[in-house]
Amino acid sequence: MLNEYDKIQILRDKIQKLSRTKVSFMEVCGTHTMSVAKHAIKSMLPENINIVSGPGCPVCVTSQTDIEMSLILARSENKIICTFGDMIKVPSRKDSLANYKNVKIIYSPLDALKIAHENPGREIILLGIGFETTTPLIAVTIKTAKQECIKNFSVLSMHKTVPTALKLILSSPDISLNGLILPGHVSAVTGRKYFDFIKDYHTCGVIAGFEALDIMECIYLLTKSVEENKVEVINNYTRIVSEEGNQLAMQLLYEVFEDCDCKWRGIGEIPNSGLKIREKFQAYDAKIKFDIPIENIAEPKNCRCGEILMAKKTPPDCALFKNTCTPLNPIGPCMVSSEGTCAAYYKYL
Amino acid sequence: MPTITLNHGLGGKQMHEFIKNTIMTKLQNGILEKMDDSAILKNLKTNRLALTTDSYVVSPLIFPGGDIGRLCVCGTVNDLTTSGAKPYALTLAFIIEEGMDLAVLDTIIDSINKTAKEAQILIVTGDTKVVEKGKGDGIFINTSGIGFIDDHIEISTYNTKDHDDVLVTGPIGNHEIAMMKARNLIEFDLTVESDVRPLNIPIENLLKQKVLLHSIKDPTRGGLASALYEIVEHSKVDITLIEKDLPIDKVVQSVCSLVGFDPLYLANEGKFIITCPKESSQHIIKAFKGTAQIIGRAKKSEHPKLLMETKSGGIRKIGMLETMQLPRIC
Amino acid sequence: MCLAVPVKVLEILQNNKAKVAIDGVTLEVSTSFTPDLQVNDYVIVHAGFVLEKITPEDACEKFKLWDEYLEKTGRKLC
Repeated sequence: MLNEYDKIQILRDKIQKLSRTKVSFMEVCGTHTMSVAKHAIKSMLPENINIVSGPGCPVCVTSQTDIEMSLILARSENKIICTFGDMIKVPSRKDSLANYKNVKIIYSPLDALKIAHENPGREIILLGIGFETTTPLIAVTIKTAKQECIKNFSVLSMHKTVPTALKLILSSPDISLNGLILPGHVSAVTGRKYFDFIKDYHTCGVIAGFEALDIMECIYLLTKSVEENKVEVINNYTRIVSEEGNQLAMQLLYEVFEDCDCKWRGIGEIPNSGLKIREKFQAYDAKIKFDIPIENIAEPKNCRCGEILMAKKTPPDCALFKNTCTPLNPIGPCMVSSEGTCAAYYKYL
Repeated sequence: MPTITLNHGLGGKQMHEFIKNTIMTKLQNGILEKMDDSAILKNLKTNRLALTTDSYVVSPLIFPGGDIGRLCVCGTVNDLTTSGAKPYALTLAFIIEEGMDLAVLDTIIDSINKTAKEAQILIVTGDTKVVEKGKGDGIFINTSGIGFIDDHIEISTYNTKDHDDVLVTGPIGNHEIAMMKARNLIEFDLTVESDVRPLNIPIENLLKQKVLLHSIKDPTRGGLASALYEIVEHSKVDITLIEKDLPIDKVVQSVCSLVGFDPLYLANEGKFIITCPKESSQHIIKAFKGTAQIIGRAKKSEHPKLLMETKSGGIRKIGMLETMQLPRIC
Repeated sequence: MCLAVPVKVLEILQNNKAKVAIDGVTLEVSTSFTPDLQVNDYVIVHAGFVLEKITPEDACEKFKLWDEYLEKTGRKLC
């Protein structure tokens, strides 16, 4: 019986022999960015296979305006801001949530409801970031708040969906991709079928898990598809991902949220790419509950996060990278988030 | 519940009695209880004296596996040991917050006593101050320590050589996870204890046996990676860690997986990194009763780097820790 | 975007919750998306919620591939 190490060596060999064409494969999930870096995947591949990072890091694609709104809420009286740790250090105008004592890091969104119960005199606002994996969790949290008649809780929705961003990338003339490493846990929720649309752009995709073996298998399958001139969307994470996904989770997501236009940091507005809270649940929508002044804030000068998120450029192409922009003093979100492209490059390469 | 008051800090009767009855009865050793303004240490024969100081501010004061008392002795003893010194004496200074529970203070002093005996070190002089309520966090402690370095010993972060083995004396990350649990930063149900302990005795035994050691470093704040970076830069070597050989307790690995932490950056308070020529490694493993492990190797380098050979055979750089690790969803 | 961890179900609790464990750590999670969970199921957990059950992959199919490859190429693993 072969162990994981042996299997990976076999795959390295197979990929080496099979790969003829110079290719670019994009991974579209912050956790994949981390896994590719952590498992040193690039060091095991031939030089003609290039792995690039896409806009799969929810913190990295959160607009400056949304970050500023979170800070405005943190600064205002009587509020407790609940957030996943990913958001704490994102800077906006030299400020960040880390500077505020009324900001609490939570592991699960349901922890925010506990905090609401324990602090009846204060308003609890949950910062909603994440794609199709996380949004159903926020949907359940909102529904639970409604069922339990919790009045001092709301969500600032900055949620987004993956397909529209992918379509933008795949239709962009500046970017040439041969395949996509598709997000394993988003697919667990949405199902494999959800990503069939990439075939319309003559791009193949493989849904992958996050262990070294999963990613190497994925790259082998992508290489094979390219060399055999096949355009297909393969599910290689069958232990968790099914054809249809978790339909209950998707139903709950769309019961509470609906599609809306949304500004992605560095990319601009993408129609139907965001998720906003439906009218039925608007009592839990922080944008409606609080009169937050919305300003359009310009992104920092010379920051190339937008092009990096779209894989048009790599971090070393940005003049700020490793100079003024470092993990300790991040200027753009790709450096702030621990699995942003720039942070991963800085740390691992 | 008897507590510390500002009167205890006045230098008068109450302070004198407090020191005599609480501190001296527990820590007396022939020198301390003389209560001279300076401790007189006689007949010291050494060409090199190591001197170090550290302050301890920890919350909570008592945590699974230890307390600030144990920590303040171990931290300074271990610091002295990393330069190859045999720790000899400590100073002990308290800054106590008004209102501090005397029973807790008792526990801390008992712990200092027990740990000092375990490390075979004398506490020879001290100081006690009291600050107003709200101006301290229960208690802050400073310990300074002296130790003697034998003539033939050359141990420093500048001393790692080409082809050296790199060892760690036990599993990493336990202290920081225990502290996070003690501070309620993680809500999962788990049992993990701080690894805080003095490490001077096994090192002393190795040095007595003339086992050659090159660098010793304690991977405290910033974890294994940060400590190794110092050796990499000072000794101008590449160090490559072997991922499959890193000792990490399952419970620590589980927490890291759940919240997205990297165990390489988690603090330890009872571990050493040791670099040495290959012949020394088995002696080190024996001295640490089998928990020490070879985790990598050093190689002379013009452009020093810290690298990881992954479980699958890939190679990557290990980055420096720039910011605090936080639980994440991504 | 999806840090999720495989865990084992220890106990089904009331109100759409379950107790799960991974090597020395136990936690309570929501089962809102997986109402049919059973004790001893293996599942993945993301931010305090069970996302999906883990189905053992068709291991036989994959192993067949490896054996075939080794046979054809006469490769030895070093």
